[in-house]
Amino acid sequence: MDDAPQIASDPQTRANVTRELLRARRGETDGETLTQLLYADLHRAAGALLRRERRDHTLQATALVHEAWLRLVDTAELRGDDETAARRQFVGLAVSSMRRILVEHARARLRDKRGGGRGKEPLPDDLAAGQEDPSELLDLDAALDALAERRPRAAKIAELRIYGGLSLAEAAAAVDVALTTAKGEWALAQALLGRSLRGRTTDG
Amino acid sequence: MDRPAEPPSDHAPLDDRVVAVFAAVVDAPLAERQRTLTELCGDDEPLRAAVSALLAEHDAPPPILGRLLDEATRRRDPTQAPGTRIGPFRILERIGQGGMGIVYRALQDRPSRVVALKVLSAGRGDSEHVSRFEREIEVLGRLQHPGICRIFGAGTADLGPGLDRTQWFAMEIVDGPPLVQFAQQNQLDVDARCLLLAAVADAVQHAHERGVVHRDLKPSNILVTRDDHGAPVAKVLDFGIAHAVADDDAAAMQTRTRTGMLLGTIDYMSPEQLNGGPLRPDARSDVYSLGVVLYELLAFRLPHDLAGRTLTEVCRIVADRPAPPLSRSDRRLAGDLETIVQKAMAKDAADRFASAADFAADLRRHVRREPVLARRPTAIYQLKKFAQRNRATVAAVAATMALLAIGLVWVAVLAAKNDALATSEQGARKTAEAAGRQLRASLYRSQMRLGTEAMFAAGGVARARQIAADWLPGDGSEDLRGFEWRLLWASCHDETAVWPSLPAPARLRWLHDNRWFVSHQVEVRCVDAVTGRVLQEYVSPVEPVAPSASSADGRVFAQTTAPSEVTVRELATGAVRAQFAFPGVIENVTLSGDGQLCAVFTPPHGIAIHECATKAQVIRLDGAQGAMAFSDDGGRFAMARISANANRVAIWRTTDWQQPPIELPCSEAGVLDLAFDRAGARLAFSSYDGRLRVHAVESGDLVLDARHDDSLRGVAFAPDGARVAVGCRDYAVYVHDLADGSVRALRGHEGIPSAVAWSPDGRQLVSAGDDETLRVWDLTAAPVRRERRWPTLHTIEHAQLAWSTDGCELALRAAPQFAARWNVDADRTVEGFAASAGDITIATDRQGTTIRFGAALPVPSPQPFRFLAASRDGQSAVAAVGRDGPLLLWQRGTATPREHPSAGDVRGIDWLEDGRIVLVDGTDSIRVLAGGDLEELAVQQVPQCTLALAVPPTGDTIAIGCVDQTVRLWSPSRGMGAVLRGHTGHVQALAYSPDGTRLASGSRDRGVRIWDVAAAAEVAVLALTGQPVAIAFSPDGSRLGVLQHDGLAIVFDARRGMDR
Repeated sequence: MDDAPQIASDPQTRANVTRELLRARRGETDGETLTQLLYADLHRAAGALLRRERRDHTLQATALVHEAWLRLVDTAELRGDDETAARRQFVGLAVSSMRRILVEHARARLRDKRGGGRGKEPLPDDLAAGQEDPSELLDLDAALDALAERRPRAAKIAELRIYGGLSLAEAAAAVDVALTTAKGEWALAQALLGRSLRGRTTDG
Repeated sequence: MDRPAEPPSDHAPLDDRVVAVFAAVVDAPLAERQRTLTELCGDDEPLRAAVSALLAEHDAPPPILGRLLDEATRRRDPTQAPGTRIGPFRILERIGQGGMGIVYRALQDRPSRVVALKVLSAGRGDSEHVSRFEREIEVLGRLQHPGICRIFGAGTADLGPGLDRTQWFAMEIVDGPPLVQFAQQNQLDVDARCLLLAAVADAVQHAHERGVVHRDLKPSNILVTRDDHGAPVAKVLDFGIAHAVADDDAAAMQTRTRTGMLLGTIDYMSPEQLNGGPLRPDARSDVYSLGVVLYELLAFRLPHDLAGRTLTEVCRIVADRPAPPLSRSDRRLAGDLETIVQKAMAKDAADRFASAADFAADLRRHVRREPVLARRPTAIYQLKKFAQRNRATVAAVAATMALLAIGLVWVAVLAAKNDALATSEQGARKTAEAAGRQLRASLYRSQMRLGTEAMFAAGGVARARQIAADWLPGDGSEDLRGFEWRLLWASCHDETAVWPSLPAPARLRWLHDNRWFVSHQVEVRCVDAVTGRVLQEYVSPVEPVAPSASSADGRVFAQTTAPSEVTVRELATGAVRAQFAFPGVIENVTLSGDGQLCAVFTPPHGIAIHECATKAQVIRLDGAQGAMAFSDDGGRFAMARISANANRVAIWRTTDWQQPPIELPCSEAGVLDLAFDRAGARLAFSSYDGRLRVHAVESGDLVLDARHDDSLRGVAFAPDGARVAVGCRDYAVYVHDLADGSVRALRGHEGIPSAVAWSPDGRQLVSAGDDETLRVWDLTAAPVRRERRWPTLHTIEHAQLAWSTDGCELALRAAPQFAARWNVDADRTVEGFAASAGDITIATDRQGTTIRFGAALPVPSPQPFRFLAASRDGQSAVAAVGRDGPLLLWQRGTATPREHPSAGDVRGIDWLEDGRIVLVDGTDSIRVLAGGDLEELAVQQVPQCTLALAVPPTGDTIAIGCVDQTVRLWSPSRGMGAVLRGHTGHVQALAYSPDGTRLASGSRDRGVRIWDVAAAAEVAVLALTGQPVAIAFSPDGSRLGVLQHDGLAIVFDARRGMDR
């Protein structure tokens, strides 16, 4: 169905997503359930979007995330909560999902290359990073994880920038730090990710 | 570089000090890094080594990171999908991507047209890119030439919640291939290619005259389309790295950006651009690039093969190696063309054509097979000779010229021109002095053009003000100022007083005892409105906090004294009346007019309203967005909130909070500030998206829905409730009249005016701006630009304008549409036209037109006519009926006019100083007639049919408006004179200033231009909303009246600049 909405928004999903977001807001969960919920929806949407669109239009991660916000979160339920802050948190989680989609995709391609079975719903190659060497992508993913252990904030900002395409200012808002702080953390992330990746390639 | 002893590991914990120093150093400019590093590390070697290692890693990021980021920014571009909206545009398709922006083909709503929409690349929101993008907008705004892609508008648009706002501008879309491709596809012969390039050079020259150097001319930036007749039209685009030579902005001078990026395309860059030496690239760098383009256009190859070379090699080749002669590619190109290309591409800028115009002229000479001027040795010879003759004066002249880099061309011109004159040393000094004067005058003119173009533009005030101040007399140099300067001065000095203030103004009240309550982020001040003196000041101990608020009488104010605490004090004594603590961080505070209720917004807890006297909470309101206000009597409370997923403004009665609030719709972008009128009957609110809405509270009726191009700030009702003032991000304060819908802009702030307040008598306004000033505006003073519309069913073609002798009243006559008088000072209009010259009075009313000589009885005109003019000696009057009607000539003492058979299609008629009559008609001729019997004395044919006429106060230099977009000067005694070029449409209205030094011309290009008659050069451009059909200066030369074809009359008032 080419006209199907990019992101499904049945009342049940909507209620689930909103509930999980509220729980994450209250600090009752680490957002993992929400990330999973979003993963499924975003993955479906990414595929649908790419099938529907002409070839010269690539996937819009940010647009997708915001569409997800509009369709999957019942803002009325957030009453009393700070919507801006909730939205920031949501964006952060959604970008994490995007990252996961891309990494899964890279894994699947790697399996493909090594003669394994194809992933059941592969993403077309014009999705971001589709052209990248999948092993390099996985290295980056690992490097980000390593960075997250040492400088969680720097890693989060890098994730938002790399996978969500957020600007520095947006990333700063999403993790709720001053722009100058975000700038420093981003510079640090670049340096440390570089170190990490270089180490991997030289080590083999 | 030092390395730490142990190789850095992925998992080693990071020293906070290393991180802090790294963050500080990485942010410093490249050149200062080492110094900053040394400063911060001292002799802590391990620290220094660790940071250095990080810096090295940072500077060479792994390629995959860059690729992913590029991809991510491209992917997040929400404008890719066709149909997406950006501001008033619908995206159709993406047509290109430059360094800074993505260009789309887009459909504009109103007017409905397809445009090229350039949007700042998402994620490129850093200041360097933004400022370059803004510069391109500014630069394009200055230019208007058929060979330059026209800009239609610019603005910012929301891309989505949580995303940055992005900037865009819309420009003319050019459907055509790049220059070289066009020449190949159409197999243009050499002459056609030369002419095409000459046209490009004309456009570049236009930019240079406006003080703009392109710096990135290359075939892909020059697109060729065809006009209605199929003739090729080349359009220059992408002024993304252009800069204005008059800009002080040091960064703008550099070809290399702060981050070391080389701007522009190497193949077409001049040696001085590549080497980035002390010489800023000027007009002649563009001449060089044009030379390379011509080379490529003729030879279909580039002069140097620079592909794959290092930057150092490129610099050396371009600086030292001569380009292979054109004739090597094609024998037919030997000779003059080769010389022209060589001269354009000379390594030394001084050896090139002095201007793009000279380049174009030589190309055209070549096409006409006339001898070209390009003779390299001659030009150098002339320059050298001039330099040897008087080195000192050359230096002085050069210093002046540095102000206007393009002025350098004058050295060569003047040297040649004055060669014969300067036979002695004294002569040489005179020459140099004359050159200096000439340059100063030329600089004045170009500055005035820039200034007058900027004066009504958003954010242009600071520039206009600076330019105006530069030409105040006083340092002994010649006073060059004319009407344009006085208008410029008046336009940027709307305010009557300016007082220094503090940053971040938030709230402002004009109290009844002529004091101001001013609140900033931290400070609350009570300021004397007469002297600007600070009477009281309370500084909050915490920072940043929400803005403070006062009661209507200013007796008490509420200030955030801790992140979650509000204190209500007496303004005079500082005595604490009440104190409230809240569970969250306070974002906004407001007090009711009587000071009894205090509303505090603490997200996410909503708004809590307390009673100051009892300290009891009255109510909690949810869904608040931040903006809120009480009416002055405290009877109503309004706030912006989200309700049913939409932004709304909700209004409660403070006497009954249980009663559901009245809800008003508001713009999607959300409300920034709210204000009630004094009676609490109307509510005004301003928005980020530039909307200002005024609603009647009870009925919800929309009283005003105004839209500004930029986001709005603080809003305030006048005491009489009939006007609303609002601050705008374009630095202006706008006053909306709710009764007649008129808007007045008050310009003067050099930062965003974020708070405004009215004086209790409603005659004055005060505004507090980000420029750290408080400015006072007198609303009874006449604005610089005033408008009045006369309803008309038909497009006005022929009209007459006249000022009363005291310059207060503008009379308009557009037969048969209307005849009216507009008293500009009283802003009153009366029906019926009346104009007098000496004691001759011409009057038109419903009964017809009459002429009265002195006290004699009025003489009726037998038929309606287009134009009527009284002679200078007051003895006669002449009227032209137009379109094959007769001429009518009245003489004092006779009752019936003398009729002269068909005068043709008269487009303008007037008396010369000496009593002769001059007229222009539709047969392309100017005719001079004897004043006594209308006998024809002289006829001059002008090839382009003449549309308008103006005679000077003295002398006989007649100005004629022409179809070919020029104004031509002609004198019966001396014949054709200068041609004034600049308009881009038929010139159909003309007027001389009363002192005869300036000429105003109105054109179908919807502009009025002011010219310095003696220099035959443009000094001002005034943009209109329609085509001007008549223009008139007031008798004292302080006002310029313009009538548009759609019935809109405009007065540009320079009175405030007259006595400076």
